[in-house]
Amino acid sequence: MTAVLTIAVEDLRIIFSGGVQAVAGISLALRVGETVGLVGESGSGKTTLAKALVGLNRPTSGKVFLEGRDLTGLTRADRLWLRRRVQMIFQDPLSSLSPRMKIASLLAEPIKIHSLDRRERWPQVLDIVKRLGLSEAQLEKYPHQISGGQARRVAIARALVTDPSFLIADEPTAGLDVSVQGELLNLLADLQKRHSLGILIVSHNLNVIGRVTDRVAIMYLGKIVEEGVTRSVFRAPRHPYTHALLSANPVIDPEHKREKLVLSGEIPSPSNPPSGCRFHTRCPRVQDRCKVEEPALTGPQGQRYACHFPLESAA
Amino acid sequence: MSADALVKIENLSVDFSTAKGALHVLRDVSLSIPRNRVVGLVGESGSGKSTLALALLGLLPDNTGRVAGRIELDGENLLDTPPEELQKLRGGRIAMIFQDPMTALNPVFSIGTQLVDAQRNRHPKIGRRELLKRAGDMLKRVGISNPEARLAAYPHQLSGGMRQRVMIAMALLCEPDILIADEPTTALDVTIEAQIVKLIGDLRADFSGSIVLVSHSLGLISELCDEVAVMYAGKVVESAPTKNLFGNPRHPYTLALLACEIDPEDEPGEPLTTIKGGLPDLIDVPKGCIFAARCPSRFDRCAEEPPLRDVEAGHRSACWLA
Amino acid sequence: MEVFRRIWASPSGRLGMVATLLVILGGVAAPLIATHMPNQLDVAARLTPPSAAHWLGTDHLGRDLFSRALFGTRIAVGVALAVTATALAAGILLGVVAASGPAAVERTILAAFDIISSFPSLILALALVAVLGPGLINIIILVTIVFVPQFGRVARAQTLAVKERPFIEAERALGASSGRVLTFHILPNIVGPIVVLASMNIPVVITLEAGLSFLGVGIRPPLASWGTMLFDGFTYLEQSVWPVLVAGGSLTLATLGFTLFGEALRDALDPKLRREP
Repeated sequence: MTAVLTIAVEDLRIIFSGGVQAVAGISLALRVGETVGLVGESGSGKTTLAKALVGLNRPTSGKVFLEGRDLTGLTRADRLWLRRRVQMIFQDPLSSLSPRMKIASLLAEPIKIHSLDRRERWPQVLDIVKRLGLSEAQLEKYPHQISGGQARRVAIARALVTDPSFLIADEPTAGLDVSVQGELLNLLADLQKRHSLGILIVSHNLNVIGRVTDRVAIMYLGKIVEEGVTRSVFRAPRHPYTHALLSANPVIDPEHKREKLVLSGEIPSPSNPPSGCRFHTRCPRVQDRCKVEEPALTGPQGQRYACHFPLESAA
Repeated sequence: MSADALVKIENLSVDFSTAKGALHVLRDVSLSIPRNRVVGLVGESGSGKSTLALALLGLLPDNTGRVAGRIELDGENLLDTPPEELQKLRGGRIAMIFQDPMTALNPVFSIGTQLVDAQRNRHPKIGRRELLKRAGDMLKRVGISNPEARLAAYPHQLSGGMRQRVMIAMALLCEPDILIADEPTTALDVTIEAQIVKLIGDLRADFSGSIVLVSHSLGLISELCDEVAVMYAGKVVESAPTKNLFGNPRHPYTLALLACEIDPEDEPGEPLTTIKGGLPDLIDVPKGCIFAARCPSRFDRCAEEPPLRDVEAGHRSACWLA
Repeated sequence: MEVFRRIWASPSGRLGMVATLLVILGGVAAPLIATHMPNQLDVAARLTPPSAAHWLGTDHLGRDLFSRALFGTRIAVGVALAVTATALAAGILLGVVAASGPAAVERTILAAFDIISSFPSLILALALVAVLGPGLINIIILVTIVFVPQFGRVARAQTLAVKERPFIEAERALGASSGRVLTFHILPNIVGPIVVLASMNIPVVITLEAGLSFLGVGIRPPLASWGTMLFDGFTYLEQSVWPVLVAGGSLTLATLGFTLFGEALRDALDPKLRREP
């Protein structure tokens, strides 16, 4: 692992009390300047993994590296540093704002928490606030007095106060109308360029992921089943699960030209995952080998997959 | 088309009373739902699509103020129907599938009991044993394996996808003439959504009623519907057979919505399309075309409100340019 | 202020507010309003009905009932406020500690709460009086002990609920320490319901104190307390109903006022009952 501006996990496992293996051995890196998508259905562990990256979930085993430094021990100083460099935008922006604090206090909080120089930082905060289209009058309001869209902007502004290198966005477009989701994604892209951020977008919206990310990782039951350059993965998925996901994604198709691949069954419980390949219970290409032997992530750097019987490559 | 209409909505207007004044949620909406078709209501939040669905069910919220116009089911105006009669229609001729089945299912009764109760309006004379058997058969038809065990289960013991199948079974057991589905797959994962979409498609073959599908997802609407009505700020701005609507949209709002749809094949790096501006004030509704403030093709005549008119057979648009 | 406007908007809230204000004002301004000293004897005018000299009559020692009732307010409301404030503070502290501390601490605190609240409050108070002895300070201490568990339990439940809300996780993700999360984000969000509970608790304390004094184990004579006034009045009920009427009336006015006020406060603070703005 190069010591450059990267946040990375290696063979990360997170097992919750009750034996739920939310994350079952994952390696993933996010570099400054790139946008990575993390895709999965509920129960895939994508949110658990995202929260581990900001230190909200303690790894059961495995390592977390930030800019080359091993944070596995996660001492208090490590944690504070991590939380300054890596910020998270939560799914529901309104409920992620402390309800009895004014917007101004909410924005000033990161400065206090990290003992930053207020005189130096506050003008920068106001600058971000203005750029996000919030007025100074709104700073005197409480979260419940502003609109959902404004709350989303406050949450984003707040994440940028400490001048982080990495932004983890959990379902940033959930609940947004199509006419405004583009606005939010354009804003994230703009902020990424301006602050040279590494952004991880956690989402189940394949259209969003396919359009705005450079690389993508598909999760199923706590494992990455396929990862690589977004374009390649979307054009020619090698893992049957990725293929099924892309096929299930509703797209405008009034002529009903597309034949959909519909998976049977539901995602099994992460507390008792299937033997061998975790996807074998729903896989249309399942063979005997899949039930006993777990496939490792293989393939070229640009597109790696964990499948014994992958789909044809595009080439 | 109107001759064969099962439901005819004429000049329906609905206001909600708020502290700031009457909120005009639906204004002068006219729409007909033909027999045995799937009609999609598509629009963003605040378009009034869910209110229209609730109006069809006679379940407008408590803060509803003025209601004007007609909703005719086989010639009978639902707005004049007394509440007790409406009560009988729901779960009889009209059934509903909700976005979140957990809120629609009663947590303290078993699935079997609820499926039996759902049929009571339709079949008051049939005994419990027979109704339970029908319920089990219906569960099998909506793709639930081991129906006997599921009948004894309680809602919380089922997964989200399974609960939605139960809701569909419940609605179909009523043998409704019209089935209203409000965002039926929004709360579900993509692969489960695909299963439900396939199920609805499969069930259509032996379902004789009409379906009204309310959704914000153009993709879902295009896959399931025969006809589509696009709503914006309390109005139907365009309605057409699905192929026409997507192939040859005749209202700038529909065009804009389609442009906002994200296509993963688009060149990355390009900014995404949005519709500038926000929803108009629905208390003090602006005069003229409701979409004018955000419309790229706005011109002088838009100060006057365009009527929803036929621009070709079966294709209606409320735009002067259409 | 918005809250008071909302309380004023309901008829029962208005009644409660007026009664509460009357009682509090009467207590505060007792030395100014009272026509006599509360313990001033007038053996010549024992058990008289209301008159120009004694607006509400006199008791069996010829003491002015109006003045005694006013000074009794000071005791009743003073004890109620002192008890509720102390119990509130102790309850919040123990509740928050139970919700955020280690499991062993939580179990101990909850067990203590269970033990205290397994006795009927009057019986427990009587037992504690037997240990501590009667008197104003002791009454405050022991009634406080009786009421700590209910505040503690609500504080614990509220803390547990607030801890699960997304903004707490958001604060932790920003790097906020546990202390900071507790002080700035949990406490401000749990006090609302507890303050409502406290306001509803005041009339309960007033009746408990009056009850203890009535039984002779609370406020000791000659301090004017509604409970002792009531007891004395009962003894001489056949000669005059006025002492009982005055003491009982004061007690009713105070408890009713605080109860209605508390209920209106609860409704005014509950966002679910609030109409859309």
